[in-house]
Amino acid sequence: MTNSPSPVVAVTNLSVDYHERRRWVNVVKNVSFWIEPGETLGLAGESGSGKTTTAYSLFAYRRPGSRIQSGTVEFEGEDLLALDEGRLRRLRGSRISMVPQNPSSSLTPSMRVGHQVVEVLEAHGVASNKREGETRTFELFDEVGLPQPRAMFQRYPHQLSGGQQQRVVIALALACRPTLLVLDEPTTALDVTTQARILRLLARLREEHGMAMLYVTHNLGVLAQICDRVAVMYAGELVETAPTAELFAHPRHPYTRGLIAAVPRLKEPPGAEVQLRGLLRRDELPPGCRFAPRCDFADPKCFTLPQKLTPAGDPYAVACWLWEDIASGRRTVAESSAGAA
Amino acid sequence: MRYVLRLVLPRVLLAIITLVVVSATIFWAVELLPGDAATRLLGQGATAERVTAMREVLKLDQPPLQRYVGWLSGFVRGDWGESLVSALPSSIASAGGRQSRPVADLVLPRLSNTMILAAAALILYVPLSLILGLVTAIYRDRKLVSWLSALVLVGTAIPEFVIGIVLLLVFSVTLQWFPPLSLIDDAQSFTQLLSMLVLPAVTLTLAMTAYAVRMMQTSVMAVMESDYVRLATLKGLSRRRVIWRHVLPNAIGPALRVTVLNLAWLIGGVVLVEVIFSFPGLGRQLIDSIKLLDTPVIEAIAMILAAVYIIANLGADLIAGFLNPRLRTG
Repeated sequence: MTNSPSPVVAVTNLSVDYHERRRWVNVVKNVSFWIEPGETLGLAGESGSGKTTTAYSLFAYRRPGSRIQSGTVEFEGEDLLALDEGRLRRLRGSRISMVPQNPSSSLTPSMRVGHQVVEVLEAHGVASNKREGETRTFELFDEVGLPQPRAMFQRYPHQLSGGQQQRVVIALALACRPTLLVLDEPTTALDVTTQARILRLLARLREEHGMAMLYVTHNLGVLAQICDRVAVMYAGELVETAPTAELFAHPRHPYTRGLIAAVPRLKEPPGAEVQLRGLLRRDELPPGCRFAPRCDFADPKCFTLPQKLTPAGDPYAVACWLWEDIASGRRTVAESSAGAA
Repeated sequence: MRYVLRLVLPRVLLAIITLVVVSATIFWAVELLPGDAATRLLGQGATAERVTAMREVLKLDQPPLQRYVGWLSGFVRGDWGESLVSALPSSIASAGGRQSRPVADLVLPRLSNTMILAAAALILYVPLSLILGLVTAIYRDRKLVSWLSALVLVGTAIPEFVIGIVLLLVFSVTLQWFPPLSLIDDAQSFTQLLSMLVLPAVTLTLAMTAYAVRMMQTSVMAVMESDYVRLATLKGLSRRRVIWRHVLPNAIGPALRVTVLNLAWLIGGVVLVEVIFSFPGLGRQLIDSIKLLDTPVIEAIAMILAAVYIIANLGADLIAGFLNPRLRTG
């Protein structure tokens, strides 16, 4: 699958189910991807596409009521899904760390933020005593651009602004110098200016530490700014991966085309953007291509023919058997399926 | 220090205002009891002069507002008035030489008995419910724990008088481990006192624990599913540290609040349990006094119970406040 130097993490055929109303519902299906050292992979998709679940599986973390049905998550050569709790604990927060979606609910309300950083340093033996932990925390706070690190140390989460909270969480994630940083919509809960500052900070930190990142978001603008490569997810499956520039210039999968076309542009009047037809309905997925019910190009065969991510002209990989016809313009919007919406 | 004042002062003021409102309500409610205390005391056959004389002695001739203010200011100063019926029946008959007994003398020993009972129940109940709640929440995947949770749920539905009667039948009547009557005044030694306390205290504890365990369980489970506990886990902290430093401090606030609020329930529970076990406490005194229409005693006990209720609420608020940095630091 990969011809590059050994990847930091390689996910192979990952499938995850959730327990819902007394039955198991598949949320991630046969997902495979890898991230190279220092590389930033963007994971894009609508809410409910399984991107957050995929992100958490990099920690071998199962959310309550979920099970990892199959697959491997190889991190630096070890399958995380086969490790025991103790080994996992040593990796989590030190070699792989998380910047979650909502900074305000991700910091423990009863604990001073400084101590929340110190405990990570202590848990992984980076700091051997309290004084060392504190000094290191001040440095980390300074590094992520928190003003007056010493004063910040004593604050409780609710006394910080959203941007400051996210900086604390980033300091936490960086504390043990991880090789892989997983970011789950890290700027979605923030206002636009704060979002831009946090993105600049992340770009700078990546530059300085050379860590690999998985950046999960539904915001294509953010992806374009920070990612080397993008993987697009739909209804639990990867539908396309490509380097960011290529993906935005010539998306190949109908879903990616729809996503990119749906971004409002300043030059066009409002409402001119193309809208993706319909909604993601998890309970009505066809056995074939999961996007078929919403696809403008769909053929009756699409509904029954399962699609797999396959090379589609370097550097693309696409899960659509019609991609060539669509790209060349031989296949246009199918009238029959357009009427079915 | 300033935040302590800001947290405590308004709540204390509110508690005092509530107590005043409650005192007025109690006073009017007792006034509404059928009949005039003087006629009640002297019986239906008393002459009009004797009734008038008695009304003067009892200050019933004064306007109600004046009597209320007099009663309340007396109550605050510790002068709770005199019992109407505690004196011997023969001496009541002669209105002038009535041998009266201060309400305080009657009520205070009963109050201390009730406090001993409530304290015993609390000592069992607070740790028991917090620990059970925590354990059942953490190990909820295990079979044994789900049975325990089910048991707790059933326990919530059983009223205290049923528990009390069952315990009484099993442990006092059948097994004869504990005395069926708690004549605490006759207790010779500490062990004797303890054996009298066991059944009533256990009854109260069982009745309260079920509910509190559930509250603690819910609270712990909500916190365990929070984003910050997930992040703490992903930080690579040990499970023990996650539970002690991230789950417990945030789960115990709401649970402890409910636990302390249960004190208020304890007040009601105590009345029933004291009657079942003939425990000479406030609750039984209240029932006895209502039967005899001994208004000053009813008023005093009602005020004490209301005060305990309000103080328990205040305590619950303050505990929640001190545990929550958001309230503590503003």
